Amino acid sequence: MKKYLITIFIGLVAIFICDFLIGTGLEYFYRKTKKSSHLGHITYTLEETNEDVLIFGTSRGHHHYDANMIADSLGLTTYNTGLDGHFIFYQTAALKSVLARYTPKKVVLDFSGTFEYDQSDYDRLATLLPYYDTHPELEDIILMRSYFERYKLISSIYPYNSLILTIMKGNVAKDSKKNLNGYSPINKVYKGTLDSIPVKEYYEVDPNKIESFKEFLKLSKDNDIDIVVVCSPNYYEFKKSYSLELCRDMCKEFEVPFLDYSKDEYYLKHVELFKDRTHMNKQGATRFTQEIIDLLKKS
Amino acid sequence: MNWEPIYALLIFFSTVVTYVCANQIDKETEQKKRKLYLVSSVIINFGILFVFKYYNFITESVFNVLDSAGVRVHFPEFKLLLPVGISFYTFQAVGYTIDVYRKELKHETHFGKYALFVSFFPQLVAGPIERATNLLPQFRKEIKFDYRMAIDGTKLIIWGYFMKVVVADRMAVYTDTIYSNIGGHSAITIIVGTIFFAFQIYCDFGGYSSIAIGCAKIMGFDLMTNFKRPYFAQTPVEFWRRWHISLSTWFKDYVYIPLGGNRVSKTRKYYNLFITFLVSGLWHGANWTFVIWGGVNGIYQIVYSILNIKPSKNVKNVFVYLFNISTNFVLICFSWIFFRANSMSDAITAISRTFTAPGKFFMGDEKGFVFAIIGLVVLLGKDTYDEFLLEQRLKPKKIAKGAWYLGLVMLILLIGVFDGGQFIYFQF
Repeated sequence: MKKYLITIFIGLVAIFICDFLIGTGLEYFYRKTKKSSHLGHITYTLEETNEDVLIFGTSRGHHHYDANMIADSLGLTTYNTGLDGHFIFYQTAALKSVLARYTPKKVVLDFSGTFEYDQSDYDRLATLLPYYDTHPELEDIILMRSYFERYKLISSIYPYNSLILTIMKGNVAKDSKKNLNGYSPINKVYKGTLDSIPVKEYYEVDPNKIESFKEFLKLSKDNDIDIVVVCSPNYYEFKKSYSLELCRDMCKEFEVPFLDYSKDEYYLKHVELFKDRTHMNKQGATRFTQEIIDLLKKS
Repeated sequence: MNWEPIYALLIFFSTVVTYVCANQIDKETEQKKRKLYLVSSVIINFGILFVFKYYNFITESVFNVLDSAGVRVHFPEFKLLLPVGISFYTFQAVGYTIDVYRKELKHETHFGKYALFVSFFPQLVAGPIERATNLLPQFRKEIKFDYRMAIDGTKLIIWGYFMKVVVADRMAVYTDTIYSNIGGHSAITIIVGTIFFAFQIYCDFGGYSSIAIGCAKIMGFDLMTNFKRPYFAQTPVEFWRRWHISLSTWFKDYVYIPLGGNRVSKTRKYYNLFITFLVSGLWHGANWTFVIWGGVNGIYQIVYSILNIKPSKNVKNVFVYLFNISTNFVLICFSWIFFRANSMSDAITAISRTFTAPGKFFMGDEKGFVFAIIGLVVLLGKDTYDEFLLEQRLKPKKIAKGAWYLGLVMLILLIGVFDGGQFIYFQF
């Protein structure tokens, strides 16, 4: 037994050393990824933003708001923190880390997704793992992934699990979008037709999502941020959306303006403004951003 | 697969029933009574399994058949959750009763030891389905800590986790994407998705078995080998000697041989083979896709038996060997389509699109795809080494072995899937 325990101990020490060395290397290169890369964009959002106006959202937010147009029109520096596939948990985490450093003047939250339970939303919080040690304000959100997350994070490699190729790409690829301030335009044009899509009219909500959304609104209000929640246009028709109803109700509760473009007739008649059913292309984003600018000017 | 504390009563009940029946079988001298106890044990145990696993499937199938004939019969519907490990411990307990009936084994009078045999935790949930002749004698011995076994067990656990987390769960991301929308993918994508599934299920189940065997080894118990590099098999017959060995041998000993095995006419032998594989398919799940999967494998056995195709013993003839394992792999992959498809219509769509749907290859998440290939290369490297070099005494030095397992742990941390689902065989 003693011999076995010694062998296991030696093995664990070897694992610890390799884990530390590889993890440290990954962290170094992670931090060196270019600002316009996927990982660089996240690091900038969580650690370096200092702009007056911040856009929050998923891929729809990321592709629908031209930060430079807003900056030029309002005379306020702007950054688009939108991140593909990351719904309210990430957005609230991002706002928390921003507020730990400074208070932006205006915030636009592009609402998309649902308040229904979806395990993948929790899985995607892995995006925040590299920041666990340095951002105590993110701990609660990261630990929503699982209770055991704090123990997994003893490993130095674990926060960078499955990221090795992304880190390599982020260090090697050209910094082509560095002047777009987070905005990611799409040049494709949708070839499909205007269809009616079944959208859930009722479902059981995930209380964590509701709480997270409310926290986002509350943090903005408590810090006197001029916040507006927007549902940007899509190219499909639907009867009723429970998610939008919930969003509207919560905005009302916190007295936050909610602008719903999901059934806007103009966009539904212009397929050339879309890349697919849920994402606008550059042409659509330019037009839509102008509308938002006009509204922000009035507010 | 579901776990509720109340389900422990099911295992307990099954243990008590088989213990009492085996005890009576052991005591009785009158053959008629011995048979009565055996039949009682089999009926009660399979009855429980039937209610939980097959009742709704059978009644639904009967309803559909009668409905198509214009007859409407309503069966009461039960919403029962499948208790964890029920298929495994039921087979293990029933196998024990049969062994005692056949006098291949003396009944274990110590209830605690027998209960441990039925519910031994490493293999309770997904096997290997142990034989009493192998496991019970180990419970009777005094167990002393064995350094060599503990080290071997630890290695098996590391390898099992690698198979599950790096290969199976990574490939599952791709195969789930393809098979959830099978009608939208091209032939090449479906082929790659099916090949990935072949390795996914091998690594998922083989990985679990490895972890289970490893855990038992650390405690000083030897469980039976469940997988022996199945994709190096040259024929479907050989494949089933390497794949889920504990289940294959269970069906051979308790279904195929009692049906007459191969000591009967050729026609009867083929019938026995086919029935055994059909039942094996049904064991996997209450769905026609599993039954067809079993049937297809049964047909392979019959065809290879008729054509008298046997594995080439001359492995040095590389071309013949590669041709054989490739042919076998294609056949096995074809059968996996039925196993993986969500429904029979999906399986048919997958097969028809394999021949009729040209188009671009869909890679999905490119990085995930690359990680899956890395995992596959490591897996094939290890299996190739074990298959051809291990017995040739080309054994690496201690430091190289240590580096290998250290590398596996690093790969698990670097590219393993930590959000993966349960083991596939938990659902059976």
